[in-house]
Amino acid sequence: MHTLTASESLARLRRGDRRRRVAALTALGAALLVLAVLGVAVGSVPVAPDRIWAVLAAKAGLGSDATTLESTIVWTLRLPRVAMAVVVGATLSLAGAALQALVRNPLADPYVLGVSSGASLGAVAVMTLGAASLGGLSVPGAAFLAAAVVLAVVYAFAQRAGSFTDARLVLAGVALGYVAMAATSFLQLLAEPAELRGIMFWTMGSLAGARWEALPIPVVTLIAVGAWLLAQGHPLNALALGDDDAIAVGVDLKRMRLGLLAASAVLTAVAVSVAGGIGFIGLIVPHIMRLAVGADHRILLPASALGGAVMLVGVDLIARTVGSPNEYPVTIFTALIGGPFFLWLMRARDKEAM
Amino acid sequence: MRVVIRDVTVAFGRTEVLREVDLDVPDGSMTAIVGPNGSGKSTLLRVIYGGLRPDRGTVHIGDTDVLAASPRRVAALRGVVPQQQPAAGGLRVADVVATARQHRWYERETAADVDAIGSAMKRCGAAHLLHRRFDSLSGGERQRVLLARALAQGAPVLLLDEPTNHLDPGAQLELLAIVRSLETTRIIVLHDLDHALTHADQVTVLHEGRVLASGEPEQALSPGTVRAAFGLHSAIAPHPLTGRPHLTCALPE
Repeated sequence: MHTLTASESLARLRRGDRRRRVAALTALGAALLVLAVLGVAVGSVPVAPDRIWAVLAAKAGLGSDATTLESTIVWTLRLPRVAMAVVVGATLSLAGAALQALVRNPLADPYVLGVSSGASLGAVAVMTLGAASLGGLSVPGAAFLAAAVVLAVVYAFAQRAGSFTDARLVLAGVALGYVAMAATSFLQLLAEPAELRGIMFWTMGSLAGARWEALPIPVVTLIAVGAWLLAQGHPLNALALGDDDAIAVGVDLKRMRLGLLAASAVLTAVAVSVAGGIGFIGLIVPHIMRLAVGADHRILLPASALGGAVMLVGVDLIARTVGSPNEYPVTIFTALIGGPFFLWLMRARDKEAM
Repeated sequence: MRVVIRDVTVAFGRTEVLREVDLDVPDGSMTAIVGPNGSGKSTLLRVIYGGLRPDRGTVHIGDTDVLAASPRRVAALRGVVPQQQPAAGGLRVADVVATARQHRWYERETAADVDAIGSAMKRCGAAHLLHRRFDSLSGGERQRVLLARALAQGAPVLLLDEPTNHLDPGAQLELLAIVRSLETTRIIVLHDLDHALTHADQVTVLHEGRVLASGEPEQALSPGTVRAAFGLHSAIAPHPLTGRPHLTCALPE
């Protein structure tokens, strides 16, 4: 009987990898499509899928019998919201997967760097103190600016003797995140009762304000930064093993870390500036995908991006329908789903270690 | 390929960890670096593989100045088995070894890559582990896989930092036998003086960051240097089983 050489069995393994990769991405893509259609169809006024099509045809100038009401619901309200959920979900998951490899810590998520708390502080400052007192900044503008300032300070603190250590990065991020959160709480106490609901939606994340005009910046950021990140699957595998392991195989460690840090910070800041502090997606989705498709970053990164989009479209659908006509902040549901899952994951890891 | 180290000095704050270290490793030879804890063995190896920039000195692999070359270029010249065990994070053995063949983003894994990985795995007796999760392996299996990763880089020089740490005696000897059988230029940091004596072509003894002795194993590991470096009595006598020179140590009376 012919026994396989090592090269042959590796080649066979790779063929299997490719098949599983295509299967996983196809399944996620299909799930995303189904959820996106549901996201547009379901609501206080249901719209049948064929009517969604009619609206799209009308917008494309193909002429159809879509009514103004249908057009408003589908095109102005629900479609940009679903699109925003896709973009923000993918953005947060990608940032989380990259950071988990960078700091080699399964607990890392886009928010360990303090970026989210900083963004929330910026946004809440505009809401409570008024745009005029902050030089006319918009809410997303202030969120992004504050996130950038926090990141610069975290980075400065994490530096030591020219290079930074991951432990210092996380410690500085967590510490600064608490400072920003305290400042946000203080501003909330100064807020008028009428402003509080808006503030809560901001700090807990919501896609309710999604409009077409808000999409270009997150879309361009996701495409540009995400494309770079997806191309780093191979070096990320080496980096996830260890610093010495990355150096051993020729990864430019300093540039790689700086690139990953900048990429995840920009992704997070942009996502938070348009949708507020949506929690758990960046933490949980990469873990689910690791269980589903394995830890190889060449598949983990695209799967996480798609998985994040699937999860946020799904969760947003729940958040705006479960108590219809009232809406709930998204993080309530990402946390209700994500928290128990996370505990289960910890248990599973304990058993694995035994 | 030759490795030439000149005048390498490394200081952490005010402490000089390496002082004016010179080392010549001839093409195709196996050189062991030994010395007590804190003598600078691992630091020297990190300098050679480009993981640490020395305050002074030069490192050349062939004609290439390691300190000036790009990480990618350096990786083509030397494979590394680092001291620290990797955090596997669920990667399979095949993925771990494949990191040796780093590509630019627009390049695909080629048949040459698959062959290099496959033959390195076979060489290290690890071919049957391809499908396993790295974190499910025993210590000995892990080191064989990490050695395979270093070989899969296809580099003319191999650097190993205490690869026998935490291995049982059998696994230690098996790993050393594989390293011994390679044709590449090898620099290996070892704790066990007898392993250095038995397996290396030449030995360098470090003590407080300086080269205390360097040369043929039996000369470099003379009772005088062993006493000066480790404060131990030592003797080289024929091994009762193999008849080859064997180094034994004892605390002074």
